[in-house]
Amino acid sequence: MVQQDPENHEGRALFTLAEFAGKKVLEIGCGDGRLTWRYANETAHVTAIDAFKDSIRQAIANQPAALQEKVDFQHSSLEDFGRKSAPEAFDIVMLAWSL
Amino acid sequence: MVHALQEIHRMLKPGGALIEIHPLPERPHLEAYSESQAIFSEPFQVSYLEGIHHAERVLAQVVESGLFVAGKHTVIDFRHLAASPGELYDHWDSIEPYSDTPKEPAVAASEKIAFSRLESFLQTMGGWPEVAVRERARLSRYDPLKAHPGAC
Repeated sequence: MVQQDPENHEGRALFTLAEFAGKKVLEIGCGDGRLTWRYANETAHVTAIDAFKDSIRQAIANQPAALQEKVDFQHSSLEDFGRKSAPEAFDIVMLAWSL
Repeated sequence: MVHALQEIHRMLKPGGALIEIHPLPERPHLEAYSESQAIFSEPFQVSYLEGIHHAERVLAQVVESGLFVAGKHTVIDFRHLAASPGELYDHWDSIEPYSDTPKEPAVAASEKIAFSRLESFLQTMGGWPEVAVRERARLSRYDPLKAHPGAC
């Protein structure tokens, strides 16, 4: 199985850019949750969206039991998610490999 | 793309932050390792470079327009590590070009040639060390600079 970022350079760099403790996070383009698992435990809650249904299925299947309550995966584009999201709902928005 | 960043701005709390991650607009390297040292390292063609240039222009535009202020950034090495060139090729083929845009045929052909060169090199070595695509990525923080339209 291919390992992506086995050294966790990305996860460590994230924590140099923002304080995640107790924050509400929106991750756009979460894919299979690869990055989500690396920071979610620190947060108050993560909403992770991806426009690809298979990716979200995989993310849900891979979700560690300890993070079941903390991470909410949704199959959605940013456009669709934005329509139903309240303004000023998140402390941090992550746009990961998807601009 | 500008609209997406405006939407993100709307959803961010004042004092919040956007963290944006994208590969640098440069060719990644195909690599093979022996005892953690690269014994093969060659850049290869990809199809997403123009898309990355465009994304960087859009990010600069929203900073210039006063929607966000650029904060800290950092550049990292990001490896996709596999046990064989075949496994690595299948993985890379499934994720590149980082969008739902079909890969250009000329790029796909060039990628195949690059992976074949890696495989040929490894055959001369008589074994299958770990192989990787190594790319560099930028992680940047942007702070929302002003209230979104309609906010009090």
